[in-house]
Amino acid sequence: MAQQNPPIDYNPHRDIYRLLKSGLENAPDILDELLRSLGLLISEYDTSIRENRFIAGGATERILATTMRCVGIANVRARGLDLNDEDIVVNGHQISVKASFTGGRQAIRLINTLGDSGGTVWQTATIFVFANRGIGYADPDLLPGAARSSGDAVVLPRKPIDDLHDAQPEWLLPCAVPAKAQDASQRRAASEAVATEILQRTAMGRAMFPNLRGSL
Amino acid sequence: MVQEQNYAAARTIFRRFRAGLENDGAVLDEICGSLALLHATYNSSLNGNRFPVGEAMEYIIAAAMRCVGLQNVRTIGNRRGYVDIDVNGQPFSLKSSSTGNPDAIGLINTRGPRRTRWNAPTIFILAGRGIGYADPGLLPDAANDDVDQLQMQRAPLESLFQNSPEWLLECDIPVKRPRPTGGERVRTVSEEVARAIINSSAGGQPSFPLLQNNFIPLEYRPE
Repeated sequence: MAQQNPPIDYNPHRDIYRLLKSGLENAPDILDELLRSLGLLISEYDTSIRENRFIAGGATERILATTMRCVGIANVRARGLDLNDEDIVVNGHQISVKASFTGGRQAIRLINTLGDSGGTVWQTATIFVFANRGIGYADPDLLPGAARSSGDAVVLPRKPIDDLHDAQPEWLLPCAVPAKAQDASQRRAASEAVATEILQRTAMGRAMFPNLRGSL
Repeated sequence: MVQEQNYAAARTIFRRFRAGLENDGAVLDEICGSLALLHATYNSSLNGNRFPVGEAMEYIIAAAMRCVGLQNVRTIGNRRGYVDIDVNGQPFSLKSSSTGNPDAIGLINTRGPRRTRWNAPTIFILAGRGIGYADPGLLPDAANDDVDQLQMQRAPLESLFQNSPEWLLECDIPVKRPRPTGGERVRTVSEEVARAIINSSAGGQPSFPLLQNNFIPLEYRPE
């Protein structure tokens, strides 16, 4: 049985997206930096490596939050320590960010439920970052009934999102969000960078872990 | 039915690793010290840090294996499959429990009810306990399905270590930090990655000067 949630007014979230979209349309240099930084991110941290998916997703949220601030949206912050935080919080309004860098049209996993997803519903305003498509927006009132349970997740198929963006272009900023390379030459795992950073630490000018750092 | 002799090579490697650490206390000290620094730097109570911290442990353990003289050690956890470290062609899974509590240990995330078998020789990094080893030949039927993962209860693992102490090197593996509540420096791996990307430069010039001036670090700000 689905959870009963109080109705959410998505108008503030839609206004925030409109500000982001118009801000990027009016400042192509900022849009250019956004797209190039995402390209650098997925070329360095190939999301074919499983652990990089979480990291690239989290970094995309931070880059998008930074971009929002760049175009003049006030009181933006990326996910903090509060367990109830969504990916980006603007003036107290929670916004989820979902990115897909494959360039394909796979369904988007909205919520990982770790088990039966039957009682979980999508209720978060969401900004989509889609390779080869652009930066879009949707919320459950714009796409009623589109999200569905899929075993261990609540997923949103691409077709209703793309149909919304085709029918109502105000919810999509078409732009060249980069797709990950099919054959990434610079495969790097985030954990390797973390381990390297830890093992190369020094204290008082001396290596803290001289044996391990020599065997990385 | 698991054939016990399949695990002879893996057990020999663990015995050599264990003996190497017992003979070289400096390497064991560095394992424990680097894991403590890892937890202090990237609090794995934060969801975004859990996976990279767990996988960073694999690099640290692999480095320690090389330190004590094991040959051809590679980390392979990023490829498909359920193994993390390869020693001369012998694959190992590495599983850690950093809470200090005898919780069940997730062996394989199955993303839903699927029938998956535990068949990898496994090195366990157990906070407050030490570095242990087990395989399905030593612990037949100890792995069981949970909702979304194949897991092992701690009781059979602890029984093995008590009855056959050769499979546990007791040492001071550090406990992870509690979830931060604000007022302390907190780093997340994704934040560091985003910061490094935005702060990158080319030809001596910042690549993203507009974003650089607006980067938002993680901060705790209750609504």
